[in-house]
Amino acid sequence: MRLGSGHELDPARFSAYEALPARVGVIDASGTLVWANRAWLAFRRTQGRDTLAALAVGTNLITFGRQAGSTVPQLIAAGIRAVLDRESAGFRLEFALAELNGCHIEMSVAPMADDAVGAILTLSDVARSGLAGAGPRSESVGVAIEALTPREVEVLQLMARGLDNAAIGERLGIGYTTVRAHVSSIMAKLDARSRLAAVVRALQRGIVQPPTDATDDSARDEERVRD
Amino acid sequence: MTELSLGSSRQRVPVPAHIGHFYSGPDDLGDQLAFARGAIDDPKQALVLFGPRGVADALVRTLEADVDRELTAERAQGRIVLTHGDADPDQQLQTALGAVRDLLSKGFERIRILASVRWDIPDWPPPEDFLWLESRFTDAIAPYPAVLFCAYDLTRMPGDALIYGGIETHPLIYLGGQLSANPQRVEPERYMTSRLLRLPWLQPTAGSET
Repeated sequence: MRLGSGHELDPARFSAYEALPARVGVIDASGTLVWANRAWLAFRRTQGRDTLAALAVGTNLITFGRQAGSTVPQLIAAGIRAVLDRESAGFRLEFALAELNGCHIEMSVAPMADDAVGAILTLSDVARSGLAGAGPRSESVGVAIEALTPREVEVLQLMARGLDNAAIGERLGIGYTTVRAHVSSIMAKLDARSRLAAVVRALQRGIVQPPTDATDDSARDEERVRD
Repeated sequence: MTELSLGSSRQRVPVPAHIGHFYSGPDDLGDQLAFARGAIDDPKQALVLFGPRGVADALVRTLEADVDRELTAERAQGRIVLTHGDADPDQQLQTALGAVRDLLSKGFERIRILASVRWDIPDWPPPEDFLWLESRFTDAIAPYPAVLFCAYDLTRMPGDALIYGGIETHPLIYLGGQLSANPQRVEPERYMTSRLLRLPWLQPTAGSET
């Protein structure tokens, strides 16, 4: 359902969210809630007001921050939880709604993954039992790491580009099982529970360079011809 | 163009294809069963049931109840293959592709893969790695005459799984008996940089950096 006056986001694009039980809303670059699915709207009716999006991201403060010329670190230091722009990462925010008998709500906020400027908001009940609402545990980066070998750094750089082990092996001229051993070693040394967590940790520490999303024809062709 | 029928609506889908399907709990398996029956009814097709350990076995039992007979012969012939998930997403990818290649080498012409998706459980890739895996599947199955039908349970999956996984990684969506192109799908390279590397639970918490 279209709300507000979003000018860059086409609400028709979000129709796939309509049938989801999760409460999904979309905000535009100004922080205006421009689209919400039925679950969101039903929840909003129980609140009697439409403050959820603004509550989560302090969206009005984004505009304020831009007008004031504040840098993102300054804004966060000033108490603003997040500033959404094209370069922002997603984040989670838990808050309580006293009107719902102390029910805790978690909002996941993620920038649009394509060229559109805006963010997808997802509301979950933290206290709800089962899988729903219980987000994956956050990674901790406060651990010492063992030095990676040059070959492991090479493997990690290709992992950061999203390549699977077979493609990495072809690129480096080494076997699949060798790549697999390198990946296991990398994860152990970076104390990462997952492949992606290892990549993120390496990026945060400057061990590898951030990938770009520009199409790498040679890499893509290489992946397509194998097998 | 090679096509397969899909779900209870018998819509045609071009092969290969990677489809996200949303359903509402164990009482809403009709489209998955119809997808699987397509392989049982056509001797040129084969079926891969993919899921966490035990889930694929349960799917076979449900399928047997649906067709009202045991599928022992099809399993013995290798027309129905059960594969299990793995905590290592790359191994899970290789397992699925290996099953497809094996069935093609046996002479089957088209492969249906019914994947029962789970989220954040043991013996299954961690959520971020599962998302990476999903983002790789479209290109991974492109060389093969295969349709991968990924079933997401709306009653059990959190919003992150449904949106980042179910919607953003599948070029096609099957929902409410309708197959449609998915404008929210994100190409793998962009998905890596714009979504996976920015997942909120992978970001450092305040004060945790040394």
